[in-house]
Amino acid sequence: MEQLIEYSILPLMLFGITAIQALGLQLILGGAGLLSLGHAAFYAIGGYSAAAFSVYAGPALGITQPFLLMSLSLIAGGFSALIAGLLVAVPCLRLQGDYLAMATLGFAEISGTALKNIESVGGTRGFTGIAKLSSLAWVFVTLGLVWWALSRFRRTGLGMAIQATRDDEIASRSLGINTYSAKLSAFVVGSAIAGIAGALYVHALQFISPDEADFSRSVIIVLAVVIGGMTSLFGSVLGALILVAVPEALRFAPDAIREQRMIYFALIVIFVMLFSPKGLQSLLMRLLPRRKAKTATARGGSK
Amino acid sequence: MIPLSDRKTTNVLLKAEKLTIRFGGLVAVQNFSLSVPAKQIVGLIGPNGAGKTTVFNLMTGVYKPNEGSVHLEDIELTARGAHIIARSGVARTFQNIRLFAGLTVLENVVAAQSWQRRGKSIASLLSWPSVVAEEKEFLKQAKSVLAFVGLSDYEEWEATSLPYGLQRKLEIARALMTRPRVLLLDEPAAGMNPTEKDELAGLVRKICSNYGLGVLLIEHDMKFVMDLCSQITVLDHGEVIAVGTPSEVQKNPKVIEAYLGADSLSDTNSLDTPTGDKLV
Repeated sequence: MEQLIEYSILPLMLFGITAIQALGLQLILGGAGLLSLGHAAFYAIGGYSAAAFSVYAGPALGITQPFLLMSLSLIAGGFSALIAGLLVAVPCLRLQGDYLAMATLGFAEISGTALKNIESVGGTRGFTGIAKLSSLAWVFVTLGLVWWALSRFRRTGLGMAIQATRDDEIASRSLGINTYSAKLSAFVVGSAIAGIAGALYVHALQFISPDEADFSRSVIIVLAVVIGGMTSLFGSVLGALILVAVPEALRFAPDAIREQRMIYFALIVIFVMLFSPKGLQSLLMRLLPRRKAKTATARGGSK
Repeated sequence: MIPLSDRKTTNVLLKAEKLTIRFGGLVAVQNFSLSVPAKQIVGLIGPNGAGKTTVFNLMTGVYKPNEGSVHLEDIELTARGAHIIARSGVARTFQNIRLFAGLTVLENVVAAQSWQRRGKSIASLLSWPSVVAEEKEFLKQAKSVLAFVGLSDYEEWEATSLPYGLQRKLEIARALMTRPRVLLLDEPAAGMNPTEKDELAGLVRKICSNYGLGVLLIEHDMKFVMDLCSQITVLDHGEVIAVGTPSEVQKNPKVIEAYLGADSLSDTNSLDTPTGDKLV
């Protein structure tokens, strides 16, 4: 039993971290309608920066208290991803159409390659020797805070401007909304959230490799947001749960089945697109009232 | 000194002067001038493809004119960003309705004042009392604008699920939320039945008098335009062919030719068809 609990801590943390990443992408993809195919790069940049902070900068500054060090690492991770997001978005968002998707894809490849060649953070071997500062509590408190802040953010002036820009850019501009800064804010804030997730990750696994910036990692996060439902924060968390739970559940399955997990994700995406284009959360929302209605009629019938 | 006193008496709000735009070799609008005074409804008519919507797009910053200028009183608007022009006080609606499909009716209107809020995002995240008060105030304004156009019962509806006529009204409400001084309406009565059109005409008049706005409208329904507008500009092939009061414009041979063709000059001397149906 104890072993089971111990074993389940890591997948749970991974779920929380993926959920934070997905929430960040939800703001970009579902909130602003921008396709970022390099979300994992911001996650990796945040992770590496946070690790570099806690390994090199923190001790150099004389900060050793774990709570403080972890808090500052989170800020370092979020801030570095925010700057990276700015670097990508400032030139690319002036362009129309799918250039942003291409640019983010290119940026992710460049980041991965760059990280492989920086020896002080481990190069291709990855960054090791990071203190275990993160914990379940850190992950889920952060997840809760991010979730709460984003749900509140939707109702702010900027949040409304972002959603309006997603739905119709020309109309938004005609109503005085600065669509460029709306898109920029969404992209940069979403990237910063990915960076925070990265900071949590490195201090949980005490390791990060350049593979974390890989294209396939970015695709997983896009899948989480799409499967869960692009327009909903709950949907992104649900999507993250599925993307972490499916491989975990398959861990005990024979190799032949287990190694096809990308096929299962593809099947889930096809299923979602066919039966519930607004994601699994909308399927849930539709099923719940129906069940209520059923029980109501059942009660009526028994009378 | 004469121009100043002149301005005071006519009280011109929006003024376009000698606007020209070319798309490659095509001159879409040439030498277009027009003024919209406060509290008046000005019409812009012309056959399909005359360049009416292009004029709107030039005035609202969607396109940059090759030549000419646009002023709102003393503010130069020529070739400025669309959102800057909107913030200066020129609001518009669209020929093909452009509502925010993912938002409710109320949210559509709220989105239009998003940039007017003074509370910064961090403050609103933390729900500071001043920000909460501001949000409440804006919500109240949004609801009163919706009540003004008669959409109070639909606040929670998905914007695009509204009936067509109400979608047009919502677009007007949304434009009003930016606190404009001049409102540009692009075919507001298109696709409406006669009752809805009458209602809309009343609403436009009310906007004009209650809010003291200048209104410029593009419309194909001649009865609607002639009843509502004090001044009409007629556009054909990108050029102004007539300016005047409705009765002056109706009698103008150039206008009749543009609408009905050269042959019709002999058998018609008025644009007003017996049924008041649209001519184009």
